Amino acid sequence: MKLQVRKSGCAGHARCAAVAPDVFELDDDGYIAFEAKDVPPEMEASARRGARACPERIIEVQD
Amino acid sequence: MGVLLADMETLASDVPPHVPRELVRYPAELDTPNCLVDPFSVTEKARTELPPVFYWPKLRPGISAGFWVVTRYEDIREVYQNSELYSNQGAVNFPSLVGENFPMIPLSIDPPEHGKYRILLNPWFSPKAITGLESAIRSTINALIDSFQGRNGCDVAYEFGRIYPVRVFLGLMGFPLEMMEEFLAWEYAILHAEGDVERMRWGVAGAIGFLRGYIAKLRTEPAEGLASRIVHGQVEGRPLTDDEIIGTLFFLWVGGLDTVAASTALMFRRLALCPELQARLRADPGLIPDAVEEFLRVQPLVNSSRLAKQDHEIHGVKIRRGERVMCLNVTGNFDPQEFASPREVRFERSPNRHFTLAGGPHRCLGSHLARRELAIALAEFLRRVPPFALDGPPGPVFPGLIATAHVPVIWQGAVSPADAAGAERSAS
Repeated sequence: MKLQVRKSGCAGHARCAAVAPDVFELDDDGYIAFEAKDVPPEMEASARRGARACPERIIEVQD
Repeated sequence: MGVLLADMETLASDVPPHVPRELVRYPAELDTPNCLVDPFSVTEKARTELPPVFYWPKLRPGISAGFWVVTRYEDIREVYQNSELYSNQGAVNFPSLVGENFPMIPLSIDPPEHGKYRILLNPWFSPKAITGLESAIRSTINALIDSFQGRNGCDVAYEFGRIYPVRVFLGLMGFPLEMMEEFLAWEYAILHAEGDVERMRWGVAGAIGFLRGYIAKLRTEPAEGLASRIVHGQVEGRPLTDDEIIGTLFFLWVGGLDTVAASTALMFRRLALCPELQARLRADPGLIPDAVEEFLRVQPLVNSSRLAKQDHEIHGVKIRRGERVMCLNVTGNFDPQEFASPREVRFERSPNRHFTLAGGPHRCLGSHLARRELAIALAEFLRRVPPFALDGPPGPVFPGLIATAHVPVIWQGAVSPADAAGAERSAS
């Protein structure tokens, strides 16, 4: 599973990191730190919850 | 919707000619206090009975012009996100009340300019930065709870929610602690002016006067805290101008004080009226961060407006360039297309993508501070204060930022908050 992030749309709600801190790292300003990421199988459920939490809908889950 | 069309004609004589008359609506219940357990339940009528885009006419001279309103979650999201089409110019223009014309920074600045101010401020308000403030927030809150010892109740809005955000703000900014009472008085004058423009002017002028004096002092004597960092700060490799400095400090002053106070008042009022919610959080404090998120959703205090940058249509309704469009969060946060059983308080709601703290580039700068303050206030209060109920019948609440000034609660069962030593032990 892969996460694809439209980083320019990140508004710094940081809800992804609040819901799934193990998957979503933030930069020092509190915005998402990566544009793409491979998710190991044991973190998939957490990654999906974090992606869904984004009010801006910029995190796409690619199976 | 309560107001007859004939009345609307006289009330709304300044509605622009291109606005269809059937879209001119005034949902008076959104503008009126009520005593319900859920003060926001009155917005259901506007959500279901009004068109998804309607025109809220100017009803009082001198306050503001009429504006468009979008009520649905998806339309609200579009307005917040689309800064190509919607501008923040002129947002929350308190300075104009006292003849000032500096901008509210970064609130009233559009991208891409907006970004350079956020770069300056974001590191102070990121989740990580707020974690650094956590122990200061916790001791501020516990000191207030200490003062309730030996009593059997308190006014949780006036004696608690009104005060701790100001103390935290003074610390963060590096303002002198002795400004506390004056800040509270100015804030109170602005927020609870009840239409008295002179009183608002007094509050705004007081705050701006203090800030200008303090900026002058910081110029020659740099100090700890965010205020001094702004006074000596840079954007794009140059120092900030005088207007940028006062615009940023005054914006932070306005934004930092009343929203958390009002959220606290409403959250505790709901818990006082709903013992089952209170019992759940007491039994499982791990639910508190999600509970804060859900309280934010069901108690949206601010319906932000944007300025149309060009003529366009929403659901076939023609919006002209220069007209304001309000995102009605008090309906959008209860849109069943986005939230299942939207009028129910569900701590476990997932996802919970409410727009109480706005969205898009102008997502509330202080959102993480607000969330942490509310979570700590809730955790410490529930840990140290016995179960509480309202002391008397529910008083009137405005379903918005004015909310309520007083929420008297009375403890039930045990007689007094846990002692301060106990507080220190479990806070460490």
